[in-house]
Order: sequence, then C-alpha cells, then structure tokens
Amino acid sequence: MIDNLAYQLALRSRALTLSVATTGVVTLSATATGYARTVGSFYTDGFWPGMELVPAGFATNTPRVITGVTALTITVSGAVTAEVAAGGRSLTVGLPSNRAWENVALTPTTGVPYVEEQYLPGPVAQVTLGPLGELEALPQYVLLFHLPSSTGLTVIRYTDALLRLFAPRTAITLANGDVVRVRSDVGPSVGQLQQSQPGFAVKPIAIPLRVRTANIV
Amino acid sequence: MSALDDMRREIVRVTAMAQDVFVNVVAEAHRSIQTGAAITGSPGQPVGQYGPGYHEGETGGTLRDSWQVAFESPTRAIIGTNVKYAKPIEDGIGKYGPLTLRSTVGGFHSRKLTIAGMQRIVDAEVAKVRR
Repeated sequence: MIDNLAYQLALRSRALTLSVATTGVVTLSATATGYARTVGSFYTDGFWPGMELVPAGFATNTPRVITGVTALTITVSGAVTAEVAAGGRSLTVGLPSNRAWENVALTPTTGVPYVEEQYLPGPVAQVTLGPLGELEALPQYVLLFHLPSSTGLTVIRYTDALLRLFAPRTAITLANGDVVRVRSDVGPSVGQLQQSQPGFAVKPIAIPLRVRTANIV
Repeated sequence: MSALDDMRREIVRVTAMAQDVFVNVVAEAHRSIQTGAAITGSPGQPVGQYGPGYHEGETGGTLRDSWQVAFESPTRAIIGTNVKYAKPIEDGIGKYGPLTLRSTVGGFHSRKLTIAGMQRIVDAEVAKVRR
C-alpha cells in the first residue's frame, strides 16, 4: 500500500549520506583560522568557499563555513582551537547541518548554508488488473540548497553531488519491500540559481520517483 | 480496392489519430500547468485573493492566465509564460524566504509535476482516441 511517510523518510535518509567534498581519513592540523595539511590538496578534494565543513577526529568538531581555500590550507568562519597535526582526521562537506525539514521551523543563520525539503506525493494510479493490482505512485523529492550570497557557483557543487546520489534508476528498498526508484524517463532536474531571502542564493533540485506497490482492499 | 489502398487509408487514419493525440496531449498539459489536473497531481497556478488594505475582495490571475500554447508545427508546441514571477512561484522561492501559499486554488511545482506526469497524459489521450 502507498506509504508516503516511509518514502519521504527513506529519501531523507539517503540525502543525509550526501558527500560533496572529503579529505578522507588523513593527517590534518588545526590552526587558529582553519585547517592545514602537508600533502594532498583541498582543491582537489572539492572544497570551496561557502561550503559548510564538518571536522572529525579533532578535540572540537564544530561545523564551520569555509571562507578561503588553498591547496594546503582552509580558512573558516569563527575561531578554531589550534591542534598539532595528527592522523585519523577528516574534513567533509555533506548535507548542510541546518535543515528545514518539512513542517519543522528553521531560522537561518546569516552566512551558514541550509537545506530546505519538500515532498510532492504526486498522482497514484492502478496499473495492473484486479482489486489487488499494483498501484503506481509518482512522487517527487525536492531539496533547495540555500548558500550565502556571493559564493559564486559553489551551490552547484551541492546539487551536482545530489544528482550523483540520486542518479536515474537508483533504487531505495524499504523495510516493507517496496522499492522507490529514481525515474529515468523523466530524470532529476536542477532549477535556476535564484535569489533567496536576503543574504542567500538558492538552487532547487527535484527528483522524480516511481513506486509500485500492491493495493490492499 | 487494393491492399495498397487499405494501407493508405490506415496510414491516414493513424496519422489523424496521432495528430488528435498530440493536440489533446498539449491541451491537457496546458490545463495541468494552468489550472491543475488529477492525472498529474499538478495543483495549477495560484491566484491572488486580496484582503484588507490591498485591493480588498479582488481576485488576481495574471500568472494563471499568462500560460499560453503556441503550435510551432504539426508536431511541436510550446507551453509558456512571460510573467517574471512564474519561476519563483514554480519553486516556491521568494526573495524574502520561502513563499507562503495563501491562494485557496493552485500551488507550487505545477510545471515539474506536469512534466513528470506527461506519459500518463499521453496514455490517457491515446486511450480516448482508440475508443
């Protein structure tokens, strides 16, 4: 039977695994203004100003907004507690930590990216015969990435990463056995970069889906 | 009558049916975007319903009525609008934050829902022509 709650929660769970940029587990140090490395490149790993990074393996792992990037250094908003270089650490950019899930209030913080969620249940039709025939639903999952103004095309790195995460034909299997699949006849679409509320620019992305499930009468 | 004549008549019939389907699909897609359609789940365009302090009691509809159809050829049509706030309405994005839907008709995302439901529109119109 159609279960929009299960579909939306499953889509949300997948969105939470979004990976936009990552160093992997490497040796990193923390400076008063950000983070540093001696090998590799933050550029190559995909970090750009305007992104929110999440540190791991440090004494303090508060998410921070990137303000500058070089190959070996990242500067972030706010003060950082300096730490000498050590292994087993990482910096990652994923789904922004400020999340306006549906019907959950969020007051955006100036300069901090956030994501807004919308779920469109879409039409339902019976596609096979009989009272217990299959129902087909065509929901859509919409995420809107709001990034600080004047961060150029950084938001496109978020939407491109989400397009890879929800590539056409991606299947998400639910506990009840239903499969939510990203459509390939009508693929995910990314909207135009637009002005959001003051201080933010926004880019929407809509993921059309197909679910088939047995009717129950 | 030869088999060739039968074939020609069938081609004309199929061509006419195809043309009917195309025109009807375009009309239904237009209706889906403009006023909504159950087959796609599209809500249609919202309209202004004004209250105290601003054109009280008046109803808008500029955006809804702006969606037009133009047939460029027997097999190509454009459904479009020149209203500049069509894009924010489509995505529910406002320059002061997410838009609040106050209209009792219509909603957001009509275009993307219509596009996603196009195959169902085509299937429905083909079924009508077959009958």
